[in-house]
Amino acid sequence: MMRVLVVLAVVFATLPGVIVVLASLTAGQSLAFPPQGLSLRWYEVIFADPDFRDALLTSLTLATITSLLAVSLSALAAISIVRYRSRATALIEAMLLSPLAVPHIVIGIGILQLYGYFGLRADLLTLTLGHLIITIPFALRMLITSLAGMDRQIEHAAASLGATPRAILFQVILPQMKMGLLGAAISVFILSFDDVALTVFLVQPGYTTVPIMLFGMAENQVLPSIHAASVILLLASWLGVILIDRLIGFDRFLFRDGPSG
Amino acid sequence: MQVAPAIRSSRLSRRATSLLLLAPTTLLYLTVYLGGLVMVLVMSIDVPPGVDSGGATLAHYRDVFGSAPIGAIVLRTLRDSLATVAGCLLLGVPVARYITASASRWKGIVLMAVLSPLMVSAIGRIFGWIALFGPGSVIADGLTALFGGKPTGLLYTEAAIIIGLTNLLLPFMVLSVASSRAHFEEDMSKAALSLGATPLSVLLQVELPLIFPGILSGALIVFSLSTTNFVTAALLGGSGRDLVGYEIYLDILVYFQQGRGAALAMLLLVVVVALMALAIQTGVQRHEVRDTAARTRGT
Amino acid sequence: MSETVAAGGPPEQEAFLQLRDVAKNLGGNPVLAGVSLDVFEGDLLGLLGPSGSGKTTLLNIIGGFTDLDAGSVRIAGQDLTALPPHRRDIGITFQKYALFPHLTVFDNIGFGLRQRKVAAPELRQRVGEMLAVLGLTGLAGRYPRSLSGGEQQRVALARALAVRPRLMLLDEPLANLDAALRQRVRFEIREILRSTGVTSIFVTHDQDEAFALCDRVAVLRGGRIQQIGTPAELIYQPANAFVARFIGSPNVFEASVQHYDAQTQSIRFVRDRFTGAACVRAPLTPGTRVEVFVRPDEVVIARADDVQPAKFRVKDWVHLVSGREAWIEGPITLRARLPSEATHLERGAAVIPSWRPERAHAFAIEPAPPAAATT
Ligand SMILES: Nc1ncnc2c1ncn2[C@@H]1O[C@H](COP(=O)(O)OP(=O)(O)OP(=O)(O)O)[C@@H](O)[C@H]1O
Ligand SMILES: [Mg+2]
Repeated sequence: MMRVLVVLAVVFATLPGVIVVLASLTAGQSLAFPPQGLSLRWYEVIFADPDFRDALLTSLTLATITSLLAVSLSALAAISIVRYRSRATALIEAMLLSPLAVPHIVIGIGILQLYGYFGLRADLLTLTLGHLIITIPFALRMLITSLAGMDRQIEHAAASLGATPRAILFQVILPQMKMGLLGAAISVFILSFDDVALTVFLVQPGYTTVPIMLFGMAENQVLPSIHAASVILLLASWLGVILIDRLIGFDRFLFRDGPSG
Repeated sequence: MQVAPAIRSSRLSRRATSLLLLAPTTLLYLTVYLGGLVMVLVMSIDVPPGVDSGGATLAHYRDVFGSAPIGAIVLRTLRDSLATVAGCLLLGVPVARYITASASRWKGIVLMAVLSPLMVSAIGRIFGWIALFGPGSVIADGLTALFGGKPTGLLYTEAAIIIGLTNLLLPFMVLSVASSRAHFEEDMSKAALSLGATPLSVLLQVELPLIFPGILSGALIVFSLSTTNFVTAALLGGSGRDLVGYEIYLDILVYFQQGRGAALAMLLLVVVVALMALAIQTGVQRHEVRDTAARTRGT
Repeated sequence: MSETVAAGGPPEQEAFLQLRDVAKNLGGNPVLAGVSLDVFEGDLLGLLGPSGSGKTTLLNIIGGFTDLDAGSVRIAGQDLTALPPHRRDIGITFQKYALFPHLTVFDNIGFGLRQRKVAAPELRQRVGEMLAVLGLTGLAGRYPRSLSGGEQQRVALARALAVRPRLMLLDEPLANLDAALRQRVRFEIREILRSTGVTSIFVTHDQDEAFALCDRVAVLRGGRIQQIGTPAELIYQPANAFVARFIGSPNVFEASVQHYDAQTQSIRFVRDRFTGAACVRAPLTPGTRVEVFVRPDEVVIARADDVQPAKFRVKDWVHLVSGREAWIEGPITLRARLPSEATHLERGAAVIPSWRPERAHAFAIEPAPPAAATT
């Protein structure tokens, strides 16, 4: 019984991804599964669309910049929170992690209103600031975990050997956090590359991302090129998962030391 | 106790360094994030244009509670969210037990298959369901053949929303239960069996109490994430006005009822933050809630 | 509490490391309650104390990782209070080694030299020297996690010594090694520290280790120094009941004073009908309740003949590597160590225990302070 449910869960979890890949390869005009014949024509169609190419470029730029900034800011914040714990840092930590519990739709409405109030238009800067709000909590959480697990005495050893606080940061702490930083950077990239819930409130006609384009297309476009675009998003995230699994190990990434035992 | 000035100044400079490291992020959050949340609050009590009574008003909240469809929407949201929780429990608990049991052979593969969707494009996967459920698909044709009726299949039904949400949120349940199961050692069940307990009573009397906090916090997380979700509802749902999250989205971006949408958003915020706080309290280990994490995925 | 106890060296000489009334509260508990300590140049001082007695905290204060609440730390006359750890020039080995996991053995040892901007050729040469001295030459390119415990321990030592610090602090460097390795490394460390001539403090909770390695040993308990002295002083002239109980796992029993002899500074005590002698640190009036400490290897047992009323009987034998231990039972239970070739006394045999008075120590039992109720 348990076995059957596990198999069912595996099929259920992987099904939509597999279906959309197959459906995107159809030679026919219909969105529906199973595909009619096999071809790559819908990929040609989607890549020929200048709007899609713009959106893809925007998405890639946005995700890259968000990832770099979120991880750098989170690394600084994590070091401060773990190594200089005080009432003030605890309060700030609570604030920085709180978007994990606040519905993103509410954050999105708030930022939309704020930008509107100040007359800010959708551009790389305003989108990046929004994405930082929702991605920093994830990066921070991961980096706090990896930092808290580090042996404090290693830093003391470095200091006793004459390393200045700066040298300790760059030669001892950051190198040890390398894997944590990498894992955080990949996750933030994927989160940002894929976000709809927040981004939908921040984009404007003429400046949009791939997921938002898909979200809008679903209502009026009925061609399988929409599947091809989905597969591009899926491929990016699968690549991220594979990278994390190779570099860190997916179970360690999720559970720190693997799920019990 | 007297503290040497030198020590005091070194403590001061440590504090200064620590706040300096936090300054850019804190500044960003105070302005964009908290500033935004305040804007929502203001919006929800702002006087509607045309009415010049000045100051604040609770009209939008009255509007929310007074409007006819809201009862139905809340009811549907509760129903769909509870069904999603049930679906996640049904599939998630066995998976969590499987990936935490030492004897499992396909542990790595099951873990990867069920948990990687945390990281995998939510919107990309929704189109898989559209392809599978939509008009002309095997499932739609099959249903028409069996029951007759419209050839739109499962798409745009509540069932599609529940399936989509369960697929989206299953990993959270698995993570939560699997983490709480770290406290369960298989030697415990061996001990219980050696004392004459049947496998079923081991499950119910030994294992269940131990993983219950994980189940509870998983259920709370899945529940709150499904109530705030609007992407799945928008793409797989029917008439549109299905779930609270989608209703807010429509109010703000489509119907331009900013005040009503903001009021609804504030109410949702209060409920969800309360549920999440409860989930953090119940969650066995604090860091599991990080995985409340991928809440972004498609909310 | 501020009386200073000198560890070695002629008293007129200025101590190299001076601690004065060092106090530290952590989480509301006084972890260090006024520690004063002098260590002279070139000395190897053992810091011995049970787990939780504040040894690591004291090292952290000297190293500059923990602020002190009161008191002062001076090295060569210079007050260290305001000096950050990286400017103190104190080498430390940590309880769990704390090697840099992301650096090779070579780079671990060269870390401190790099901080001092030592040029590459000299750095290579000095790291090479350390590798040779500690027998690590073949391991230069390896990472810490691929080393055995003993190897890691030596890398930690080499890393701290490579910069030729003016003071070495070693926090239980042998605690994580198995028994055989511990014996060997103990003497390696002693040789290395001797040959470099560096002033050192060696922390341990293992008295054998402290006695084997150090010229002088300070006993710490509950954040206070109990006694400082040579191993022989600690064994034969314990300053108080704690030290007497802590060193050498002695027999301990209560008795009451029968008679005090001022000339020999000793007492006769009685416990039930058993009487014996023990030396004391202060005059005691008859009737005072005392605790008596005598180590098993000081207890001599002889077969009781018919004339003597036998008060003790052999209960059991325990075989130890160093000989045999007899458990004898009478008014009190005593352990007595006998060389393996000594006469065999069968179980149940009637025996008489005795010892040289100066080898037993008696301390008055202080009535528990009323404040103790709060702990
Ligand atoms: N940050 C802290 N907050 C509260 N109490 C602390 C803290 N650090 C240490 N202590 C307490 O101070 C006491 C001394 O600790 P310390 O680590 O110095 O002991 P130690 O002698 O090195 O012990 P061990 O032999 O086990 O290493 C202990 O009782 C410990 O519980
Ligand atoms: Mg210690």
